[in-house]
Amino acid sequence: MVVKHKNIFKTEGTWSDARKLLLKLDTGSWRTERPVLDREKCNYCGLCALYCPPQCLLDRGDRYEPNLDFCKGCGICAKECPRGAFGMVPEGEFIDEG
Amino acid sequence: MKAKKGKVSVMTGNYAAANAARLCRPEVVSAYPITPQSEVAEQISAYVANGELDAEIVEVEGENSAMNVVCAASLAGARVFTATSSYGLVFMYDTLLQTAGYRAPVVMVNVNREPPGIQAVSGGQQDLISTRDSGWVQVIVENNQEIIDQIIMAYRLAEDHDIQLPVMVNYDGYYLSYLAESVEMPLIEDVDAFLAPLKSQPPRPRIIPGAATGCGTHGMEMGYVEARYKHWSALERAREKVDDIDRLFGEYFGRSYGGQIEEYRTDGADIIIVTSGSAAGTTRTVVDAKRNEGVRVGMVKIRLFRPFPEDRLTEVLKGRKAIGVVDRSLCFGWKCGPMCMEIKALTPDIGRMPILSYIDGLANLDITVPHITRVVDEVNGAAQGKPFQEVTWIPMEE
Amino acid sequence: MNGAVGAEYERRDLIAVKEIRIHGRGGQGAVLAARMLASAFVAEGKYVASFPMYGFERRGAPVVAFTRVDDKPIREKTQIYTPDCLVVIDPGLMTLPTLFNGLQPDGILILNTPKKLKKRPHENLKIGGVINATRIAVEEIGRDIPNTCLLGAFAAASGWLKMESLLACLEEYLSGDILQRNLKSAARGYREVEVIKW
Repeated sequence: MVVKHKNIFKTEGTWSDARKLLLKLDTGSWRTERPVLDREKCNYCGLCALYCPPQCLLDRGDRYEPNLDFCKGCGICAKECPRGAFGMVPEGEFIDEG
Repeated sequence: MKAKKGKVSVMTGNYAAANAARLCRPEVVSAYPITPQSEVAEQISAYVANGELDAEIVEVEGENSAMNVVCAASLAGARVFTATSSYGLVFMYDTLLQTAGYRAPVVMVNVNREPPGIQAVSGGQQDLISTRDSGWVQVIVENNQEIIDQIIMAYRLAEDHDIQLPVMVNYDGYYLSYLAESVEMPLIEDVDAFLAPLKSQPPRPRIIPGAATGCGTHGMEMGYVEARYKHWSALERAREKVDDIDRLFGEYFGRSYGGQIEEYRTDGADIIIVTSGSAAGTTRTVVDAKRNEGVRVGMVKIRLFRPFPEDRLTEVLKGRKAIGVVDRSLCFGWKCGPMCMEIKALTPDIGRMPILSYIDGLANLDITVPHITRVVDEVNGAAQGKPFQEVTWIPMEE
Repeated sequence: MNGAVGAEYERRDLIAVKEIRIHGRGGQGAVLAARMLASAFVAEGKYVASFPMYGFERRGAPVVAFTRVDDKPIREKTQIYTPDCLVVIDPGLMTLPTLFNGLQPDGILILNTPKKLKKRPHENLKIGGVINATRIAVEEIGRDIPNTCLLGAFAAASGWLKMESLLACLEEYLSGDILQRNLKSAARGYREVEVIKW
């Protein structure tokens, strides 16, 4: 048999690096809307980071912002923010369709 | 006497299965949900909730208990129904064997999905293959209409006094379970009429509260051998019964499927492609195209898998020039696929000829028209004496 | 969807008359849209086979639904590699490299987008039906479920389906207030779609 398939796994069983795709899923590609921060409103309280289910809010020193590799757009950060600093914006706004 | 025309509507495989089970009026249902079967369990519950089905639903914590419930209810004389897939099928493995050994006429839908080993929520026939030796009757269907018709025929077979065996109706997860196509749903009074002959048969033994009668006593030495011999004999008898029931179904409802196997354009065929399930539909398209080009090819669709249709296959495969078998699963321990391996066992009766094995359609990968076209071309080449590859894993070569 | 390679396109002559591929994300109603389409075509006397393929079954994950339509029963139960029409429910999917794989000549694209299509997205496209189905769905149904609106747009742009058949079929799947809202959404899709001919 002429095997053209290029192996995905390096091992006999299905082992993979927990820091990479397969065990680490690209959940960011699932989003239909993303949280956009209004920096004026954010007071760096950290409640959003506490509530984020995949824990993907990044500490930027004076504010929190979503890690777009993992953010699924669930909107919990926007809902929990006491200052309404996040707006949920449809992903369509960020695509350039030419 | 003929059945009236049923209601035509668009329905997915799972809804078709639940609907067909409803028509057969099971009295006890216990089914644990699992992708890609969940809608079957949900819809049966819905029918009971809205009064369309008068059955006792027993909610359980897992498939092992589900099979225990329906086996016991069946031994108490009830008509039963359950459904599962992959992980659920193997979770109920011990009760699966028990049900067959106790000769309980349980009818179960198994929506084919890859079983444990590699985490997969995707279609494939490996779950069916891993229960080949469970002692169940196993049938595989090609489309949603056949799902409906085969479930009805399954009750007629399972509860037949001459058979008394559980029947597993298999259909492809995703490719049939979620496929919406138009089907004709028989009327319930016509299904009643088709299953009515069972009532005039001698009743099978059952648990009766207060009566001193039980099933499952220890079988030691010759007790064991005798019980196994009877079970094995019933499976042997089931082949002809499947053909009879298919014929009767055809006479009554106007649709028949060939019984144990279906032979498609096998007259005068030099080469035969053997397959099962939804892939058979795709193969028909290719057979027609190749016949138009002058290739003398036919298809055999395996419907009854257990008991294996030895005689009918021998009759149709004997004297051909080459055979190609498309398996949607693996036979661990053999180079070739499982159905191919079983067909190779017919060699003393069908004569030596190239038998090419193809593994395809694992884990929701598609068995496409170009794939089957390639199979026909290579089997045709083998028939003409060209060198060929005995076993091909189609996805690994892409 | 496993990759479509060159060989898949060759046997187009063998397969059903019309092939429609719907691209969406879980939660947008792609699967239901494919079923509604199937029912509508059956109501017009056609044969159909329609099924979805997903990776992960959850909101936001990409879903593809395949619908075949023919005048005779459809036997092949495979995915669609040579679509005549693409329905794209989520504009974000326009960047998917495999989106246009196998698109047949004189192809049709039905696209849900808040923007204008500046150029023809693929050389095989003959007709485009562009509509902001998300906005219409939010206005009529109250939620971003653009599927019925897009079906209306499909009927208008392709001409393959009578609007009456489509509207009648919605009753098979929806009822009450939700049905009425979706009927309005579908009707607006039919009326307001911008049909481009290339």
